[in-house]
Amino acid sequence: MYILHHALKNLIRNKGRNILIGLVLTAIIAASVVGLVINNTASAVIDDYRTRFSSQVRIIPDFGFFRARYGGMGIGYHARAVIPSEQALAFAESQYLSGYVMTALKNLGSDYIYPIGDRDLFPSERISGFGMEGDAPVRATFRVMGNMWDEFETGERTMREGRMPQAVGEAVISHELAELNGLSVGDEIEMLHAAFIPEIGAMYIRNVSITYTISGIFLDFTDIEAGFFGAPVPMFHRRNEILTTLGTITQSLGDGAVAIMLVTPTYYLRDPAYLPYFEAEIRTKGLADTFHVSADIDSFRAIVEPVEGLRSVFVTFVVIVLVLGTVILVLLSWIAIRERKYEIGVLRAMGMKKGKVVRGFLYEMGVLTIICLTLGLVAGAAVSQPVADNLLQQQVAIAGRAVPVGQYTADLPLGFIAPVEPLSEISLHLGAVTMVQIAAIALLLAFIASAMGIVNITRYEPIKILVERDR
Amino acid sequence: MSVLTLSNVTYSYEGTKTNVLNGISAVFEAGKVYAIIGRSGTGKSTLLSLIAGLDVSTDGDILYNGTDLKSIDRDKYRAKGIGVIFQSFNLLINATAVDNIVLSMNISGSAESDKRQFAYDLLQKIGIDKTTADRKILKLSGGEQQRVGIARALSHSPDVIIADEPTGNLDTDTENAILDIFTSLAHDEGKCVIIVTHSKEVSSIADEILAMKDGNFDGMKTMD
Repeated sequence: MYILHHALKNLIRNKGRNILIGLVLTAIIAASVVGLVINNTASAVIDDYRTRFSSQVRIIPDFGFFRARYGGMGIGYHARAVIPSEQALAFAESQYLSGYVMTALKNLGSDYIYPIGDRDLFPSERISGFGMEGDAPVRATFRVMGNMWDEFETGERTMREGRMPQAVGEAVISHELAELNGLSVGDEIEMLHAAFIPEIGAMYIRNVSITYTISGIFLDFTDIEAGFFGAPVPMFHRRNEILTTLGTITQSLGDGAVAIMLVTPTYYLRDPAYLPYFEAEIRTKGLADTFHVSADIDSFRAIVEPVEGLRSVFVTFVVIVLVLGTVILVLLSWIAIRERKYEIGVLRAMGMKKGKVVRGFLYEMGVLTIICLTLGLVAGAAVSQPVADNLLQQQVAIAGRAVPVGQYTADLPLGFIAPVEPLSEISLHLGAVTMVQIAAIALLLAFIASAMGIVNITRYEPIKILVERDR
Repeated sequence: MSVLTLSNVTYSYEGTKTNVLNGISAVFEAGKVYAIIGRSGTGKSTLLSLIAGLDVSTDGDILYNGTDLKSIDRDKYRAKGIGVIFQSFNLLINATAVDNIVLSMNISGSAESDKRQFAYDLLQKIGIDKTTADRKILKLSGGEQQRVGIARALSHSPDVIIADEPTGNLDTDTENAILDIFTSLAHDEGKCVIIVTHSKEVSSIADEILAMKDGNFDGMKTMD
C-alpha cells in the first residue's frame, strides 16, 4: 500500500516532469481517439453498406440484347425484358436467401374512368403499328402498383376512407381520382390491360378487362411531378396510381394471356459469398442468359469511397502520431532518467526490492496514464466529430461522383437511372472496441515511458547508480 | 557479542586487477562504537559499501550475526539489519524530510503505529523541527540533509549503524548531539556503530579505532 502512496506522492513531487509527459500522453491518446473513432465507425459503416449492398441481388436485363432483338422501347421489348412473377416467386424459394421483397407494376388504360392530367385521352386511345397482331393495345393512362406501400409508412399517403386492400381484386385510389370520376368505397372500376397471347402468336395482343373493387380512398401528399421522369403524361401522374396487393396484380388474366408487367424482386442473400450459388440455382430455375445477376458493388463503392478515404487518412494519422509520440516519450524518459536513476539507487540502497521499485514506477505511470486517458478520451471525443465532418466533406469533394449514366437498378422502372450519392455524413460514437484499443495504446505508451526506469532498476546494483552520481 | 565478522575480505572493481581491499579481517561487536580512519583512497568507503550490503566482496566473507551476507537477502538486510548514513546523504531530494523517514520505515516493515509522528519525533531529536521536516530535501541545507540522513538510518532501529563522515556538515553543537546519540545507541541500546571519519572528535567517542592503509587495517586501537 505504501508503494502506491509513494507513487501518488511522486506524481505531485515531480509535477514538472509529469505534466510534460502527461501532455504528450494526452495528445497522443486524444489523437488516437480521433483516429480510431473515425476508423472504427467508418469500418462499421463500410461493413454495414457492404453487407447491405453486396447481399442485395440485382437481376438486370441485358438491354442491349433486347433492343437489338426487339427494337426500340415498345411493348414487345418490355414484355420480354421483365421476369415473370411466377418465376420471380420461384427464385425466392432458395436456401441462399435471408429474405426478399417483391413489387409489381403494370400499365393500364380504361374506357370508363378519366385519368387526372389530360381529359383528352378519354376514352382510351388505341395504339397501332409496332407490327403487332390482334387488338390494337389500349394506351396506358394509369399504373397499378402491387405491394408498394412505402408512402403510407412515410406519411406521404394516408387513408381517407375505407381500408387497405386485402382480398384479391381490391385496390385503393387517390382522393383526387375518386372525386374526378365520382367514385367511392365499394365501387368497381373496369380497366383494360394489353396482354400477350403467346399461344396464338409471338406478338399477338389482346386487351383484357380487369375489374378492381375500391376498398379505400387515400389522401396523397406526394410530389405530383416526382413520377413524371421528364414526361408529364397521365400514366406517370402520382394521383392516377392504383394501389393493390401483389396477389391482385399477379393474378392470372385467363385465356393464356400474359400480362406485360414489371415485377421487381429484391433478393437478400444470407451471405454475399452465396451470390454465385444463388445465380446457378436461378439459372436452373429458368432465368435466361439475357439477364445479369449481380450485387450492387458500384453503388457500394460510390457511397463508401469518401469514408474509406477518410479512414485511410486517419489510419495514417494515428500511425504517425504513435510513432512521433513514442519517440518524444522515449526522449522525455531519457532526459528524466538521471533523476530517476538516482531515485532508484536511493530506494534500492534503503532496501526496497527491485520488484517493489518496478511496481512503484508502474503505479506512478499507471495513474498518470489513467488521468491522461480520461483527458484524452474527452478531448478526442469532443473534436472527432467536427474533424471528421470537415475532412469527410473534403473527401466527398475529391471522390464525389454518381453512378455512371445508363446503370439500372431493380428498384426502379426499367430505363431509369438510380442516382447514388456518396456518403456525406458519418455519425461517430466511441464504442467498446475503440475504448479497448485506446486503453491498449495507453498501456503500451505507459510501458514505453516506464521502460527506461525499469531497465535501470533491473540492470544495475544500487551502489553502481549511487557511485555514478557521486562522480 | 559479534554482530559483524569480516573474514579475509578482498575487493577489486570489475575489470581491474588491483585489490581495493586486501584480505581484511575484523570483528564488530554489539554495544560498541568503531571509528575507521585513514587517508583518502585507502578503501574505507568501499569497505562500508560491502558492510552495508550494497556490494559483495570479491573474496572472503562478511558474516552478519554468523550468516554470510552473500547467502542472505541483502535487500532485507539493508532494510532491517543495517542503517547507513551516506557521505552524500542519498536522500530522495523531491520528497520531504519526514517522507524520507516514513518511507524508510515502510520499507523496513516497521510496526510503529504512527510512523509519521515517530519520524517527526526522531527528526526533532536530532535538531530538525516540524517545519523543516515538512520541507523538501532540496530546500534543506547540507547540515540539515545530513541530519535527515542520520534520522533515516536510525528510523528502523537496526542492529548495525554505519556512517560515512556523519558529522562533516554539522556545527559543533549538533555534532556533539549526534555523537551523543551514537554513543547512546551503542552503550545504552546495544547497537554496533561503525563510523568512517577523519574527525578527531568523532574518533574520540569510539570504543575502538581501526586505521586503514592500502586496503587493510593497519592496526586497532582501543580507546579504553
